[in-house]
Amino acid sequence: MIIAAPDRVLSGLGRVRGFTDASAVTFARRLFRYRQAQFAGVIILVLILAAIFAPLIAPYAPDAVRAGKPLTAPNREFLFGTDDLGRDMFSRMIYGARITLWIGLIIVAVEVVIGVTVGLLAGYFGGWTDAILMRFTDVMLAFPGIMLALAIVATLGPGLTNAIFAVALSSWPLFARVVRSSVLTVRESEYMTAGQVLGASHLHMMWRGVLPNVLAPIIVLASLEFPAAVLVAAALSFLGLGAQPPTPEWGALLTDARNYIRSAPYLINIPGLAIFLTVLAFNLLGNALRDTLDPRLRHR
Amino acid sequence: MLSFLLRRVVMMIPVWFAILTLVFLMRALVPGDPVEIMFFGRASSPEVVENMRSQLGLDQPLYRQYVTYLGNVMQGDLGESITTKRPVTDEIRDRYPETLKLAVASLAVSIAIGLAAGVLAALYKDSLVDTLAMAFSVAGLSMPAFWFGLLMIYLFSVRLGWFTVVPDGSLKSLVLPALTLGLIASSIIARLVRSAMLEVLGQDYIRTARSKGLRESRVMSNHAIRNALLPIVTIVGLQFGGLLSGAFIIEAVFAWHGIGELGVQAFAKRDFPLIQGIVLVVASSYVLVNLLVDVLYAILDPRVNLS
Repeated sequence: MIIAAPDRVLSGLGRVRGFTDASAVTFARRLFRYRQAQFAGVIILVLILAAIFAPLIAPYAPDAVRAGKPLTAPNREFLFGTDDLGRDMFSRMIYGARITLWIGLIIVAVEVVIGVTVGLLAGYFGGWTDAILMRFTDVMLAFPGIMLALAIVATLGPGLTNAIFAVALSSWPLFARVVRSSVLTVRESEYMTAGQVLGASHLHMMWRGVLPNVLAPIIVLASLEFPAAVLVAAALSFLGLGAQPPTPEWGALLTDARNYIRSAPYLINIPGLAIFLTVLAFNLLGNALRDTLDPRLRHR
Repeated sequence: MLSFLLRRVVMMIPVWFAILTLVFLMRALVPGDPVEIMFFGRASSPEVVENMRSQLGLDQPLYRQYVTYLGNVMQGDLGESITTKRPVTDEIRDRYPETLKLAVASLAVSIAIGLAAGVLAALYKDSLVDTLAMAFSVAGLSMPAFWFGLLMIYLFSVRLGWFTVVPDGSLKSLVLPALTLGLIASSIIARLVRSAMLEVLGQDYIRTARSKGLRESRVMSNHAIRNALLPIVTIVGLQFGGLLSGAFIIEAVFAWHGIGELGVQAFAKRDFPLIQGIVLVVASSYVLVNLLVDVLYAILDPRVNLS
């Protein structure tokens, strides 16, 4: 029974934090009180539906050349016009939504796994483990912005998969930082001492004792990293280092369209606006989530 | 002050060495044979590959390569670009001033707009001004720089014809790229200035100043903004690093012949000596700017303990 006891102690106290005690419905009600969350919710819902039902919605295959006359301006048949090869932009945008959402999800998932592991280990064990892991994190953060992602993708070679890993590998230090500082406060709490006294293993303490109590900042950061990841990945594709043609990734669509800035500006503005609205929606949702989950983070 | 400065410089050294090591490892960690990759698997003969390998010192064991690399960098030798056959230092020296020009101009734009928007938003908290400033801020944060740049070109060069589409290096051609980069950076500055101002406005000394009967404008200029300036210096310093790397995208959009454009070309062609040189120089600049910010902070704030 010794195994079960620390479990109950740890998870019982885990409910102190804001969101674990609220049921999903109350939580959603609190979240969507924010008008920005409502706006974001609508856009994200449209995106998700477009991504899921892409084959049903798109009138043409995304890479069907000569679906219409090349460089046709938006009209009733081609809602978003056609590109230089006569491909239907509307269909390409719909399939692009799929790619964009996947990119964001995978990048954030990888970031969370690496960052949370590093942050947990550093904060929980402290001492040398902490010193080494955090110095490494600091060095990663010493590379400004998109620079590190660019360097990594240059090392691995251009391509969407490599770009995804490059962005993830360059942004996990943020998670490590945030998780570590949250762990430091949790570590001092009495239920951790209780767990220790009851003989819980380190793994058990980290998984059941620490992690549930640092979940709020992780969720908030993840929701704000998602749009950042989408933006950087699109930028890499725009620079020709991410998704390669004919993949209808939104950033890559802009690269091809640059040459037609005079004759067909819609080819630039449609994917550009789509990226902007997507990133905006997730940023707004992230802000609302932060305010709902952890009001103390509001001014960060 | 001098000892503070010295200590900060000494603290910087291990960070810089770590960066140097990571940059070195970039090439060592390339999956597959780096030389084959440089030729995109289309080398004319095995001898050419062998030649390149020994020329780059890649036939040596890793620790020997590392020692050689460190020695070369210390002597200011960053190797030779594979594509242009010129020394990497020369390539960077040609381009760096252009990027610096762009970064400084963007910084000026971002400070002017960010400061104004942030201060106004804090002064008129919860008013329409505040709402608009914060909407501007979240919009800027969500804006893909490459689309914004193309939008500026479309609007001001193609439609209005105010600027040439391809920059000629003149001061006028700096306007659009600097405005693009500066506006995006100002959105973050505005938000942080606002929260710094709100923090200061809640302090006791502001209430004291007001109850002394000082004019509101004087309270703002002498008490509030001066104190809010401290966190702002840090933010702006960090932004400068962001501007340096943001230049990679903006320079590609505007065909601005800076280090970012050079970098993107090098990345695409996998010109490793050049890539390593650029990454090293940009990361070093960033570390240096952070050092300057720390020092500036200490000068501005008498409360910072120098010892």
